[in-house]
Amino acid sequence: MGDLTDIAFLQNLGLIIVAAALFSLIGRRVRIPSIVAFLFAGLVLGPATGLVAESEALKLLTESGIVLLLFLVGLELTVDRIREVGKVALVAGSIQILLTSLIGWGISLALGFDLLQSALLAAALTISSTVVVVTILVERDESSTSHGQAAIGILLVQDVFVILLLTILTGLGGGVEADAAAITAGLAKAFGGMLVLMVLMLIAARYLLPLPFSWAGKSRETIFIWSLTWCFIVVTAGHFLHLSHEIGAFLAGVSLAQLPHSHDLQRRVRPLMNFFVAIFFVTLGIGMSLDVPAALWRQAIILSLFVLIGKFLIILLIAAKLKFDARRAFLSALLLTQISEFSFILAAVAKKSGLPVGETGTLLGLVGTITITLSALLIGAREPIFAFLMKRNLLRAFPPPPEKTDAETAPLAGHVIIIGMNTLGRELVRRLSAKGETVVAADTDPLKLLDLPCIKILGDAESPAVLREAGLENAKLLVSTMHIESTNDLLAYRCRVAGVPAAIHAVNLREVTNLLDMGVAYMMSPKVDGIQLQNAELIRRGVIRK
Amino acid sequence: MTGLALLLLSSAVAFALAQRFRLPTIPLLILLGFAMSRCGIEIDRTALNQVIDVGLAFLVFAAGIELNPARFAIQTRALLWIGLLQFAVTAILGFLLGRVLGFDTVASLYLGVGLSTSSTLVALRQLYRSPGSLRTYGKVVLGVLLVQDIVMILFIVLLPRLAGGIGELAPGVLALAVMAATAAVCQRYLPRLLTAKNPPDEETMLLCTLAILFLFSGFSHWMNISFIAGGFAAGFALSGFPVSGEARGVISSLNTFFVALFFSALGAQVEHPDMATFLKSLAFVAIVLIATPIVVTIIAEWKANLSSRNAITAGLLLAQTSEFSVILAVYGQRLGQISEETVSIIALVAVISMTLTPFLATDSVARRLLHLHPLRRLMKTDSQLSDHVVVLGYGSAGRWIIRPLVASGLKIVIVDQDPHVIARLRKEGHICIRGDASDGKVLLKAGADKARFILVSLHQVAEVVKVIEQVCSSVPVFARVFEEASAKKVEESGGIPILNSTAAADRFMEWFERNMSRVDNERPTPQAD
Repeated sequence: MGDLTDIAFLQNLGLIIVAAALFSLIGRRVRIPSIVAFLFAGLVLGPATGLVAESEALKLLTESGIVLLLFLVGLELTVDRIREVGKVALVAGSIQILLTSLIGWGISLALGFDLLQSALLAAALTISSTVVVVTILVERDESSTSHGQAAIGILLVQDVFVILLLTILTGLGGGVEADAAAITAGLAKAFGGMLVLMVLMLIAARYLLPLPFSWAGKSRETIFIWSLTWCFIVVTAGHFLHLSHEIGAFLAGVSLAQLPHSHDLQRRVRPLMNFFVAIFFVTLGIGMSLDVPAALWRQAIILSLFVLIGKFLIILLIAAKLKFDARRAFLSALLLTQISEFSFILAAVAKKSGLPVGETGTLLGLVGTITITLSALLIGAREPIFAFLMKRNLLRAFPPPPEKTDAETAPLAGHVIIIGMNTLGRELVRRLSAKGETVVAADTDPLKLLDLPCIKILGDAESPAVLREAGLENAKLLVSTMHIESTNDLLAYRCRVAGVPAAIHAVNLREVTNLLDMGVAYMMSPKVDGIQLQNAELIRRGVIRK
Repeated sequence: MTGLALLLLSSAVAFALAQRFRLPTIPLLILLGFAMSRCGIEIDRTALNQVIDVGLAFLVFAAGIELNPARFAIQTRALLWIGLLQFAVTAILGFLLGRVLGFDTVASLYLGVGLSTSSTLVALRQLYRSPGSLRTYGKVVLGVLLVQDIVMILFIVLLPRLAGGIGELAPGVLALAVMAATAAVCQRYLPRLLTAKNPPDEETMLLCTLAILFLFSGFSHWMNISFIAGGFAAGFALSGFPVSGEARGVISSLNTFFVALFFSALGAQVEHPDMATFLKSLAFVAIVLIATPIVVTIIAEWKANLSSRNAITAGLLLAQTSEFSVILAVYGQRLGQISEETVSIIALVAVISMTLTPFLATDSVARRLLHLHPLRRLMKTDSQLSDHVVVLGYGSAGRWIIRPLVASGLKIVIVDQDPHVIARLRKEGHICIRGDASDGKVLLKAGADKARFILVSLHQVAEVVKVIEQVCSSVPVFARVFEEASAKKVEESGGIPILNSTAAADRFMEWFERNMSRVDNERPTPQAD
């Protein structure tokens, strides 16, 4: 008498999510990145127990995950961002790709792979994981530091490299017998399609999108659904141009990145992406085979060592040429010592294109698991490692780090955060700014933020990401002028957890009790204050007695 | 992937139309999904069903998170009265109409129950539109919605078992009890787990939230009841503060995404209704529009102490069927208990009644209906007033306004909508007029033209302007407003605006300068009081 519908799909999805949650909780304890936890969850669900098998319905979800991931990467790519890290990243990234793939190719050949497989392996080993690195940087609040910027820049160059590779692989899809003419035709077709889509996206970003999207931006839900629609439409359009989903999604993201709402969109797309990407990685684990022959393990270990040590040294070398200081060079090199989720995708796409890739997919799965785990652990222990290297004078080729590290972009501290730009909120922003306070204002309506003399954040204050961006941890006060009780309660709670004083709008009597329980520093009650102002005005006019 | 893009496209259009014409999104999503399938755009049925399944889970889950019973603890009795009576009356009328129109018993039951629940999504959206509402009748509306949702879940689980008699009903009830108990335990203890020293990051939080959803759904499936009940129970388990806020934050975009797809996919599956079906639907809509506001108004005024106007607005706000009604219909159809026609009617009633809500649940409609209110005849007025002070709108802070006036020996006349407020003030010996403050006749009765001055505090600035325009210009009108834009309108029409927000800002700045004005990184400790 339960559900007569086909429950298998929901059951599989449920198992995947529960396993992913369980393993990521365990993963947090033993400090391994969530991606590895998901892969393990998949290994348990698939090869180990056979509880879940790969299916068509799951495939759509995993594909959506990668689409959203690339959409998100694209969304982050504003013109400012490209300029910021552009030149250094381009030089460092290109040389890194060239050196790593050449050496990787040589090693793979030496391990007995044929030319094509070695090329695939080399490309896969070259790229590092955007998701792993960006997650680590954001968690540690380092995405705006010099080493963070350098690493992200190199990753972006690698992303373009991946997209080119994917284009080539998709172009190769038609001709299994790889004769030169077919490859050239395939490449031309792929590049042609990419060029068409890129031009279309540029035109759209410039002329087509800004007006309607700023209208849609009046409602956060509308603009969210619109941008997802745009993403999937471009993906579909790309499909007709024989481009992979990934490229379409990335370009859709870039075309929206220039909008003022892109930051808020990133925050909104991220949970959706997390959901699908978790499914992606668990499914990836499900598809892996555990009984790998010993020979494959040997190859995997050798390639992993190359990624962990070789890649690290290559980036250090490039950093030396670019005159990075010791700390910046060390940290950005260490951050990139893993292979990417796109390494697996490359293998998968190559296989789908009908190329004779053999065991490379499984092999890369092993290398990915090993390098992502180990590099995350190494990044966790970076301070002792750096101290050790400095003590042994091993980084003497680099200029020493400046005394105050990472202070070049001073993070927010001692500022006042104001949530809700109604008349009261805007008034407080003006007065506090005039007093010389650093003020961060947040609202969901871009128009209300427009003319304020302060740091502005467009987004929902209920989202922890918004408060993190506002630097809640280091703020000296948070003010909420909102009329919504539940939001005010939550903000008061978040402030208490962060140990930051809060001044909250007490909407009614019940709210006063709640806020008192939460230990807020000050309660605003405009209604009562207004009556007192009115009385003062009546006294001033002499119509009532004092 | 193409199917997904198409569903998203139809949702995008629905959202745009909803924004442009200020309509609820749900009926438009269904309509556009329907239109898409009518235009011959085919989407794989299995895929549609999968989208609907996931959407269902999210929909009930989000409803569960929103409705934390602790928020309504004070008024539980009143809310139970309103919710249950409203549900019963509407369901019985719907059932009878179903029988009259020739539906069999089971279909009539589905129709009746389908009529009885109001839409949380539509009502919430409308409530957030008028900021004052959450302080007054909003609480009651949300509480009633919770009661309705719970009753609805009971029916979703038990309706399919009706045929099997008590032998099938009993295990269902038992399973529900087990589920509710589990959820209640979780609701109690989850906040403690979460507020531990090391709170999880957003990604983990998201996965844990969803894991709870799927664990409960799996649990309910295992106990042989619908996964919908599990989803709702999971939401309820997470409804404690502050877990609810965290959970709402992490799933909000997933929820928007899947719910949009859910309704579009649903619309794409609805059959084309013929004229007869359409007319029948209109008859059901009439029940929702008439029965619900009347029952809610009467009991809300009686049991929840709402003022007449607020009770009427609450009733109007609940006069539509719910996303849960649609879920019930889809479910009944999948079980083979009801026909395509019944599903079409329930969906149509939802589309029509939800679309009407923003037009009906307005202050001006409530004001017009107020004239039909029986208590209105009790209104009595004093005349021959002069050199007095007129207070328009007493509200919750009225005591603060009249105290200094009385102390200065001024004669005051208070105008308010709320019969309870008026009754209380009369007892205290004040001169009161119950009525619409912006009504010219009421102003005349209050002697506004001969008053020394007038103090206005009304919810909408349009009303304030109306008052100022109607009294003679020699009488000063002080109007308290919150937004700068409102102050401007008051000033332009000749009134004297008092900005609550400026007053609050002054007070805040005084506090700020005393306690934390130094621009340094030292963090002052919050005051103990």
